[in-house]
Amino acid sequence: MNDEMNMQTAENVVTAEQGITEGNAVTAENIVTAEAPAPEKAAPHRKIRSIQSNPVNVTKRVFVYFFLVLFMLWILVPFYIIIITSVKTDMEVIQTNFTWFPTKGFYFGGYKSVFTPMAGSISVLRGFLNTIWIVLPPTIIGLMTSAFAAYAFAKLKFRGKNILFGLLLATMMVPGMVSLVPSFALYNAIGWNQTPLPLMIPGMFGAAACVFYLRQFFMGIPSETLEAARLDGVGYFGMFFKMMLPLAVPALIAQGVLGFVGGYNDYFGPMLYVAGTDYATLQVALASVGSKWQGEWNKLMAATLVALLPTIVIYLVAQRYFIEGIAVSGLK
Amino acid sequence: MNDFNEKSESAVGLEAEAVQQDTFAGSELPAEGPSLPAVPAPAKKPKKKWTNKEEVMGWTFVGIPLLGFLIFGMIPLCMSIYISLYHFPSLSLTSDYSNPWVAPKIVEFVGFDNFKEVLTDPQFWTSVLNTLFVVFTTIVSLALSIFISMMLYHCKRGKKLFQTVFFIPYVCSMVAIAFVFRVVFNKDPGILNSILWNVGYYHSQEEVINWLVRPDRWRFVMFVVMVWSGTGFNIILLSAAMTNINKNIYEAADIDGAGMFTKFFKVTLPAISPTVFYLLVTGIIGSLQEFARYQIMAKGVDVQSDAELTIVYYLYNKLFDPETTMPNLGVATAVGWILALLIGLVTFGNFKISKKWVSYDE
Repeated sequence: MNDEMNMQTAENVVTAEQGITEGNAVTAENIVTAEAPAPEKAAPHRKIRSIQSNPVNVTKRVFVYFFLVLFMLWILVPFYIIIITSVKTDMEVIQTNFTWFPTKGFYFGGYKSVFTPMAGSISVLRGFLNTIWIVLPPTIIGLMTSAFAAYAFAKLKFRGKNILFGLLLATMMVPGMVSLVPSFALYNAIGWNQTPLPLMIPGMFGAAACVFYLRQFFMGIPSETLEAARLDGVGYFGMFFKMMLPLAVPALIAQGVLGFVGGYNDYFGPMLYVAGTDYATLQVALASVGSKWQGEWNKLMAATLVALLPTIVIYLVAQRYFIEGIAVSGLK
Repeated sequence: MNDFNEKSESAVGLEAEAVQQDTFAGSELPAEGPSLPAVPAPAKKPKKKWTNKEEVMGWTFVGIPLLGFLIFGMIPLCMSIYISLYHFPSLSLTSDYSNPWVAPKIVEFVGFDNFKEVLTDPQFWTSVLNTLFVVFTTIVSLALSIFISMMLYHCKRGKKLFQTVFFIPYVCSMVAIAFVFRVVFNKDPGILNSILWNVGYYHSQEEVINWLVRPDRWRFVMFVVMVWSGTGFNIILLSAAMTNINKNIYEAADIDGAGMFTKFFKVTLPAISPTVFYLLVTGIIGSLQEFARYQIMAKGVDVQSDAELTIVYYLYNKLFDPETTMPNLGVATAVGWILALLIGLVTFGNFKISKKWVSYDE
């Protein structure tokens, strides 16, 4: 009995002495095995960990950065391949000996292909210019109509508002593929096929998602200021242009860049309506010339780079708006 | 037009107001007829302070997108019900542009035969299976996104740089990206095969793998393409959700001695579950409509066993590809409806299951 007691106290002393060194091991073990010890025991552990937990933190940091760098390489390698292939010579791209750097010198002839039209297709550059004038007007006008509707939904009182808003939300639920074929038939019937009109006109009426997003934004603007302005005799248009719109500029930019990039990258719509015509957009032009450049990878990659750069540049410049636009519409 | 007038009438109920309703609807849709002067609002509910002008303005502002939706959304939607029940071997409603409302004479009512034709077509079921593979890929890339976002959360320095780079694939056009991977996986000359030559994996020309022809290899290639471009959007939303988690919860978990994995499954995952759910639903809806990457990657390649067919690709072939079939609007529309039904079903199922794992409490 006494011996046992002595042994126990002796052990306790030893544990206490080794506490500092052991504490570290225990914390490391905790992290791996995910065992939750009793709270009163955990408190000293935490103290010790905060003093000397460097080995754990270092392992964790190495772990974290290892995967982040690996993932970054995974994302960036295709871009490296694009750039490096686009400046290789015609001979080098077809040989089976791939090198991560051009061995036969830099050659920018591939970029000439961006300007040359191919049989049955316009040049990639023409496609780019087409894309700009086909995508920009619906983006800007659609943004305005969406903003007007969002303003009405957020700040005006009128009969049937809730029903209409529900109707608007319902349109977001219908997948585009259902009405795709009849839309095509409809545009064909009114003579819009082979013209960019089906890509432009519907977008000018605004987008349901955009209305929804901007409405959320406008709801955050206090109604009292609007009420005061109305008493001062400011009309509805005046309120919209002088008070709502200036406040909504970041939100509008966010939706604008998202809309533009979406339109710029759209493939299905342009393929249905303008493929093979002089109105072909960049994506359609790239798809049709690209499939003809079998093996001429320097040309294909040069055109691909030209197609990718604008959206990447827009993203890098307007990154804040992008992420804002996505985060808000995604989280709500 | 008449539809929503009726709706609002029944909602409002009072006849006097219904008349007024028509007036506003008329002013909002000029095509309906001469716009009548606004009738003064009956002073029945003075406490609501509805001024007449506000009603007109509200309807005008809201009316523009609504008009677009009715013309470009509702009309095709209603037409699709009609078309799907007809044998419709034409790309246009009519060849006579002067009167688009008269259907061509070749049209013939067939009831649900179009649906039967699609559902008994083995090629359609192949496309369904291929599309389910896209869904599977989306789920894998969502899991990968969660992992990478977790790493980002624990990253102190350079977080901004990583985030910026990780998001780039989201703004990249699918056509361009498909071409890049086409260059990588092409047989000869192709970058992957060149590398395999360089490292001595190949010894003779016969061994060279054609990555795009055999279905299993084709799926592997598409898996790579889709995971590459599918993570950016997820990571942005997930890291936003993770930074919103209350830090106190983690501290409490630390005090309880919770380890990394416990913390992830008991704290992080429940907290970000609404975002994960949102990404899962939208991701699955998107992947059920996959088309561009499959079409570009398969251009000029003879992929075996129709492995390149997704549901939308199948629909597209029914509509446009003169080699496989005559254009048949009825069948293509039926495919569209079946796809919509599938999307609805999967989304409904997702919402049902979500009750078990998504926690919305703050």
